[in-house]
Amino acid sequence: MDPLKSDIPQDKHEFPNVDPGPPESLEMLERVWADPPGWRGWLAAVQNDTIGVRILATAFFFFILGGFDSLVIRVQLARPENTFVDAELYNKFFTMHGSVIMYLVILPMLEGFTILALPFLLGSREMPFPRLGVFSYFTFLFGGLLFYSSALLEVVPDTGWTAYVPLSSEEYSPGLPLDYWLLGLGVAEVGAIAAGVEIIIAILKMRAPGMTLSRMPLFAWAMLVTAFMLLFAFTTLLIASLLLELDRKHGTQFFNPEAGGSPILWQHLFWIFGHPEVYIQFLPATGIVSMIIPVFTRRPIVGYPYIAMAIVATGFLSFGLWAHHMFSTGLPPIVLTLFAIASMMIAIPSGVQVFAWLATIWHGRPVWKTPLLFIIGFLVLFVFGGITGVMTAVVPFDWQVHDSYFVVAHLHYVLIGGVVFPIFAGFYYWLPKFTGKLLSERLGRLNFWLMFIGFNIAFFPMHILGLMGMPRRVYTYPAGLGWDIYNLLSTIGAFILFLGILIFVLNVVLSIWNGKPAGNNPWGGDSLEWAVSSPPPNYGLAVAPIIRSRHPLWEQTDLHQGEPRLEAIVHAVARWPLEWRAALVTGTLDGQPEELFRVSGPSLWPFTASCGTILIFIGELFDMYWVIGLGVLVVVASLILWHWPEEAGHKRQAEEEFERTHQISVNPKGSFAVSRLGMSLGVLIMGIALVTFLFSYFYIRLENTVWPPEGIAPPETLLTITAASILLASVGFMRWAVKAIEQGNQYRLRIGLALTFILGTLALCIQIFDFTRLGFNTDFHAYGSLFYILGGFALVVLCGGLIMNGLIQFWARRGEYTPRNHVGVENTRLYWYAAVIIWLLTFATLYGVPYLTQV
Amino acid sequence: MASSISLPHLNRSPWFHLLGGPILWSAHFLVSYAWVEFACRVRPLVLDSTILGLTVLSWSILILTLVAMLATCYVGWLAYGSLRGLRESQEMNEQDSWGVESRRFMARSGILLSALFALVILLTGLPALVLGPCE
Repeated sequence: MDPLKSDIPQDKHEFPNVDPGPPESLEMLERVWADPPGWRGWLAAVQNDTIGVRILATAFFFFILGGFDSLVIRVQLARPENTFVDAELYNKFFTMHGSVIMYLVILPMLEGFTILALPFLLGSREMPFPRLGVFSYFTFLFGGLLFYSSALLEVVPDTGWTAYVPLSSEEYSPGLPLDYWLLGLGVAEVGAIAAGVEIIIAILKMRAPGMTLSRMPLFAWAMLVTAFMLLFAFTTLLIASLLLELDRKHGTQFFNPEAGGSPILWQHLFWIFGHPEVYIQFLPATGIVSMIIPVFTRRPIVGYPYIAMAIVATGFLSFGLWAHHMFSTGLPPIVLTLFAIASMMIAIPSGVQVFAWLATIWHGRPVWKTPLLFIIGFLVLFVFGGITGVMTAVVPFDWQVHDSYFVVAHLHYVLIGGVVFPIFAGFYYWLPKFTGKLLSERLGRLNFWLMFIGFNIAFFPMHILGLMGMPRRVYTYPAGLGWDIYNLLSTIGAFILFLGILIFVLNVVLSIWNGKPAGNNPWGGDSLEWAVSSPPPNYGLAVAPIIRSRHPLWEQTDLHQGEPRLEAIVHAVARWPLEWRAALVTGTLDGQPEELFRVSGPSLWPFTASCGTILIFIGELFDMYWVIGLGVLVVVASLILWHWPEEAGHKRQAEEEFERTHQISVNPKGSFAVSRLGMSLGVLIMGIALVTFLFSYFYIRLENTVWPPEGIAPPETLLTITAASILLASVGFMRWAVKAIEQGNQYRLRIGLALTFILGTLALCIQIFDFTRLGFNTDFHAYGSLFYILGGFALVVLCGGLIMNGLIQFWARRGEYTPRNHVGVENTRLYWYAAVIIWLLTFATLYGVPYLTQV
Repeated sequence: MASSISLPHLNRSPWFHLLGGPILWSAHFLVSYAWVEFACRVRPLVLDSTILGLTVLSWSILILTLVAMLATCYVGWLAYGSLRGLRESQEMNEQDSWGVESRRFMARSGILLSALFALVILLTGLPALVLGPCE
């Protein structure tokens, strides 16, 4: 019997009929969706539940390490003038604690939840790019290990999780520690961006038929917004890290004020990432809250559209807050108010969500199980942290408490209360689905109360300490300031909190060893993941559901009932094709099936691509340029092999018959819609990178009264205009090539692509030649550093376009493209257009601004 | 009337209704920020001269704010118009109704977001009435 059965209201007893699927198909489905056995299979595995669990387990491992760092910090501060660790070691511990928790724990945990649960929540078979998920996992793992390997070599970074310049410059932080920080975390950032792309496409294009945007689970809304934020924030951080690394090891001057650079630019770039990062962690947590509250209050959520819109509004507003971390850097008053007001306004959407949750609880019949306890804990702590957040948005107050323990208290209330508590709620809620075993309620309650009480004892006194003037990041303090008792309390609380977390580990181990079976739907849940068995089969639901409600398991009597055409499609997909991993693509707005496509299967190439990525970063770390070259080769080769077309394994006639019968296209070589959206997101990432570079350029331009610096003439424009004109002409040939394949003309396609390639190469050569005549280098002034980094970016983007063009020419020669299926050509066109626009904007800035802004 | 609704034609507008307000806020925010940073560093004299007790720089921020706010309200108005148009479209089978339901949802949400962001834009600009922009 379901453990909660007695709590489920009568009208919810009858869960809908779920079609188990045709028995003859199940074995085939199981086989085609399974990962291969053995160690090679382990490296090649792509299943979303496998990858999701790996990400969660790895992030939890880092969580324990990062939590341990905080205990060392608290022991040191337990009493005044303590000598448990010295100042130097203390700096290393707080740097590791902040960096690990911010980069390697919270976000990966939420990504892990998403990759694990999203396909089941959306009623889909898989994530759209399973191999990208694998790449994301291994880059995260390797990045984390690289970062932690600094401890083995005793070169641990010690500049805090923000790595402010000039402290983090080569002059004040010489040697390897900071490079470990920049490069180890850089690899993990690449993984986060990759996961963002995959999550966006899964949510926009791979929902069950009928799951319109207004019926999508709120967790999906939260992850959709978060994934877009990931692209914006992490791309900016990656570029900031690149600039700092170049300053440290290659003599550029981006952050050096003596050579025209600006240390404040680092703060801007860091916080354009850093503040949204807080919401990148908080929004998925709210998504978890919005999933759990209805189930444990036994009623639909109040204000679904308001919550969804609050998530969107928070996503936007979170990018308008970055300078509130910089109130004490001397910004103009109007700029201060701009950021202060945006910081206060973000309380509106957060408040909307809190009131919607409270209203749901108020109108429901709460069932006090562990997940709900953690959610109530979250509500209390998050509201508290939110209020201190609005307090610090007030500029004069912020000046008082800046860099004090008040800020430490605020950020832990928001991050532990607002994010970690919902993550634990999520663990208690979803783990039984994926392990098939229930967790102990008794240990769960003990876990919650230890964490809740421990947390408040640890962090509430820090508000008082901050107001009394205790600065953060000090390794000790003298006695007699009235700080002793609060610090001692804080330390005791931290240990109670850590004990609570250990109880959770114990609970999970006991549950896996000897837990009660969970059954399909232990909580009486309303969303689709509860319609499959626990643990779920690799393919999810054998017959795709037809969604007609926001709470399908509560409000539908049959999960596959709908209009005859749709019913026919969902049943047909359970029978054919069983030779490859077929998944449905549905319309973004209307949830209508559009396409049946092949999701990529197990492959070793994503693993080798992550190995190549880590080689590039290791090569940079130890100044071994041949290793970087090897890494680039491995990445490029892996990417080409990763995307190599696969044979369908059945005849074209079968596809045509399916298309004729059901009126949706069948694409065993990959989806049109999914790959086009993937390329669009790739272009968006390049656009964000360009904007970040241009922001840096203009910011540094404003810092300098003379531009270019004295002794340097503005660059000659003749050659760059020639190169730009040639590149513009190539756009015409690219268009011509695409038109040709639309009309079925293979010959003209190949000619058009070849001409585009030749013109692109010519423009590239002319521009590189022009660079050799500039007469200045990257290291004499920020002007030179910016010139080469921006120009270099445009060149690299164009090279990417040339490589794609070359591959497409190769496949065109093999006759891969038809008038009906030439998505590769279209994607190359989109990329090429973007590369040309980036080129034009970049060189117009580099060659135009020195003339236009001369005083 | 169902016949007057051309669904493919409306394909892009739901996203515009939903995101127009936030995007206008982002543009207003970034332009205001960049403009003040530029003006306060370069300090062209014309921006320091006063009209009706406010500097030209303050006036420029207020006018920018007003334009952005009105544009955001206009997006909300378009979303409202779309919502009314969609209410009139009845009589369709269930599958078509999904698309219409989504568009209604987007339009309704667009109205909410436009209202919120019009308020945020207004509040962001108002300090220019009382504070000296650069010191």
